[in-house]
Amino acid sequence: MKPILIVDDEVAIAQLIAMTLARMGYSCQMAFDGLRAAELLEQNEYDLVLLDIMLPGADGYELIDFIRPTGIPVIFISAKTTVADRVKGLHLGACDYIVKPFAPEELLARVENVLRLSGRGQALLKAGDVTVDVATRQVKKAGQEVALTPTEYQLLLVLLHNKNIALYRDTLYERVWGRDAELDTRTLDIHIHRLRKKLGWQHMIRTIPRIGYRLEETP
Amino acid sequence: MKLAPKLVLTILLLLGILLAAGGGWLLKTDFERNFDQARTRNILAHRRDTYSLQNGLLVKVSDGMLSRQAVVDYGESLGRYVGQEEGGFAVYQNEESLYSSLPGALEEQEVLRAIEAGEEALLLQKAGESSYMLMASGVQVAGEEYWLVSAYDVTGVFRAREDKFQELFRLELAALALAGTAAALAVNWMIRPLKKLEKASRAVAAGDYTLSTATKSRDEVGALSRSFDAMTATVRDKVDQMEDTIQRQKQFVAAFTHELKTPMTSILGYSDLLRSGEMDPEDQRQAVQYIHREALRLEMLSGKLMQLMGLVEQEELTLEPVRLALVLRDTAASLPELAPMLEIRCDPALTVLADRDLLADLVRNLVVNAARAQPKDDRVHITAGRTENGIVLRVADRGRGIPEADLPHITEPFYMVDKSRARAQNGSGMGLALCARIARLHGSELHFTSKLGQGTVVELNLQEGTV
Amino acid sequence: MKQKLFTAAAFLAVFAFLALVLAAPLPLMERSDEVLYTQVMPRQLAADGQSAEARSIDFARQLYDRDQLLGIKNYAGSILRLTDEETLGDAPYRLYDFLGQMDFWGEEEQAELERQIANAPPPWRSASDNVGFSAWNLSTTWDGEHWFSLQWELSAEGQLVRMRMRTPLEYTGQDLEHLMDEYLAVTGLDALEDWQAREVTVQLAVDEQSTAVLRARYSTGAKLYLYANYVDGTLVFGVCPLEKEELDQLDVSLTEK
Repeated sequence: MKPILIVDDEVAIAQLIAMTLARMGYSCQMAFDGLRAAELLEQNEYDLVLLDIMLPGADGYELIDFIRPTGIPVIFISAKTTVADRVKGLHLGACDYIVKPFAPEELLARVENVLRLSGRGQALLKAGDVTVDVATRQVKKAGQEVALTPTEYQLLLVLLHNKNIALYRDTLYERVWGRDAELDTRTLDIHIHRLRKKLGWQHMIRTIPRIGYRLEETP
Repeated sequence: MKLAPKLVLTILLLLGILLAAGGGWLLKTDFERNFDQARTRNILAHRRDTYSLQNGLLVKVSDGMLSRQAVVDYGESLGRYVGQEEGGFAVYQNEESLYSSLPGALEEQEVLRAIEAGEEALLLQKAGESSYMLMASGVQVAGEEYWLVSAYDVTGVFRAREDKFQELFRLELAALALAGTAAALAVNWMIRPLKKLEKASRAVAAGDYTLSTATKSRDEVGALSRSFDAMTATVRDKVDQMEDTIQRQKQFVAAFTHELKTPMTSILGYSDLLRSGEMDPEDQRQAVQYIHREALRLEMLSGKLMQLMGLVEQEELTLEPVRLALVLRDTAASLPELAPMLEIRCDPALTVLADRDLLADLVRNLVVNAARAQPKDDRVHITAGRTENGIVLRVADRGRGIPEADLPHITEPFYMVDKSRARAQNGSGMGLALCARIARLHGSELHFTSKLGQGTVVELNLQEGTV
Repeated sequence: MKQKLFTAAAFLAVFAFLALVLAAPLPLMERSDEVLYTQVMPRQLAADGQSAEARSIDFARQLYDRDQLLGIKNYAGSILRLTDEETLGDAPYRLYDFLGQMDFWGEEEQAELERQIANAPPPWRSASDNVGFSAWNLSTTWDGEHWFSLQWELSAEGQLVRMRMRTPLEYTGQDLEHLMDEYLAVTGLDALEDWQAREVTVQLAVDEQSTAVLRARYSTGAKLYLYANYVDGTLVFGVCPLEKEELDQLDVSLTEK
């Protein structure tokens, strides 16, 4: 897999994106201005470019002209929210357009989506002998399809996105049931229990005391 | 109804009434004159006939006899003498006609009525198509009384009046048609500027302020069109100004939200990472670091914004005489880290009218900007001097300068010539906007002169004050 | 659309009104005609050129009216018509009747007149205006050799209006004054009190040897001019209507000659 190029003049933002993507196992490179980005694009190959529009040196619009011939998909990341800006970005060949501020989950979903559409990313999420086809929402264990409720599927996705990371119970709950849902950790426990049972993951999903759960996969 | 038909109709109405009145009066006077003439003529003719009859009969009497036949004979000869073309006459005795050449259409009783009316009366009588004047006079000869009744045809007088009326009617119609056409043309010509004006005002209503009516005529319509042009020009200016202001406000809001979004993204993103699960200590430390730094940036931004808002709301400052040297000393004191760079040349006696704190703020912002330009000689020059325009305060550096294209925008809020560098140097993009506002509150403007790679000079004129 | 309809309606209304206004004289004319046809209009009886006193005298009035109405003054020879002795009838006797009343008219004059009339061969010539007055013009000899035109004019009531005859007698100014007095008395014109003598100096081209005695009087009230001339053996006298202005012009023309 090739790395993802992050182009943003805000170091903090670039770092944030890099950190978020790194947790999913993507490798990232960062450029803080247009010229540096062009340089990197010339030297290396990338699966995806995350591009800020307002850049010193050469701005995002100029850069995309440079990127288009290479066929590398581009996602714009910008604080510019006007419809005209979005349309312009998409017309110029960007695959998606992410508006600041964004949640890491959203970023991740968009990135995966674009990668999948362009045929570059992981079409299947895997953990042990369990595979998840994000496009068809099919979950298979050792080739056998497993029927999951939407909530169980969502929970599985969150766990897969954060492999080997201990997730706090309330964060987990919030990501699956939504921010407004009444926090009831019993529900979470019940769903984790069902997942373990359906996928045979009694040992893969570990309960971390006082924190929450972690999907463990030894490489 | 439109103005043109209104005017044309009014003109036609007035003209028609005038023509009718004039024509009617003309007809009336003309007819009366003709009628009077005919009457005078006919009265004379009747008197002549009466006279003739009387004298003629007298001659017969002198022969000693006056037979009925003699009267008839004389009537005939008189008829020959006076002619019979216009009417005729009759001789009556005791309501009995002795001789008559009166037109047949004239009835006997009318003739008798004329006799009854007497010698001082004149009757107008219609018989068939014709009109006659009837007059009767008594003739006394040899103790016998005879009456001469004359009828004179005056149909011509009436017919002439009718002819005249028809002619007049045709003439009036022609005159009205002509006048109507002429009026329509003239009115159209006169209200052409009005139409132009209407078109222009429609255009204005539709938002197009560029159309000009430009009428040359010197009448009221011309004056109206000129003042209309002046009005549209003023409105155009005002609208342009308003649009400009709105545009600037939009830009301000857009710039402001944009400025907010970057720190917000960092804060939200890192905090989300932190709270979602365990992180390795190094990443955790960095995330917290970022959150803190971006929060600080937000705080500074809001502070500057508050200050700018405060200054925008403030309409007028109370300016008091301040020693400029003291202001500059304040500035230097508030920037200890830049103090070594400052080179201040200022006559300690120079006094300006200013708000001491704000002026110090202004100079501090300019100095910080100058220092950020990384002057080659590591110096920021502050000079103050007296000119005919008051006191000029000048902040100059030999830094990297400002691109010409950016110069007109640098006092706009959030405008940054080099964004990333400005961020790195903790710039907010608000400094010069503040400076410009403070300068304006002092009744002055900031003048920038800059050359890329050679440096920037900012000048500010201040009013001189006396202590 | 509505506006256009309204405009068209306004035009129609105005045209209708204009037609009405323009035609307005027609009914007005008819109304005034009706009044004319039914009323009895006053008529002035006569032109009051003469004073009331003058009009009370028939002869004066007739003379004046004839002048006014027919435009006939006593100028001889206007309309002449050949006639014969029968037509002449009693015309000479009517003249004789009038002249006989005048104290001035003596036997000599009467004899001469009768002789001249007797000498006048047919055809007689008469000029009559057919309105009661009759004028006569006879070609005759006055001394048996010379032809001469004898003229007189009489009114319907036998008053002599003028006369012209050749006479062997001689008349002085005094005689002419007498003649005029007598003439006024017979015609009744002496009832007018405003007869004034007019100074008449020269008349016509008169030979130096011949005598010319001219006398005239004028009545302003009756507007009548009375004249009596004896010039070179011819006696002319008569009366004719004359306006004051005409009289003044006559004076002017006389003095000029």
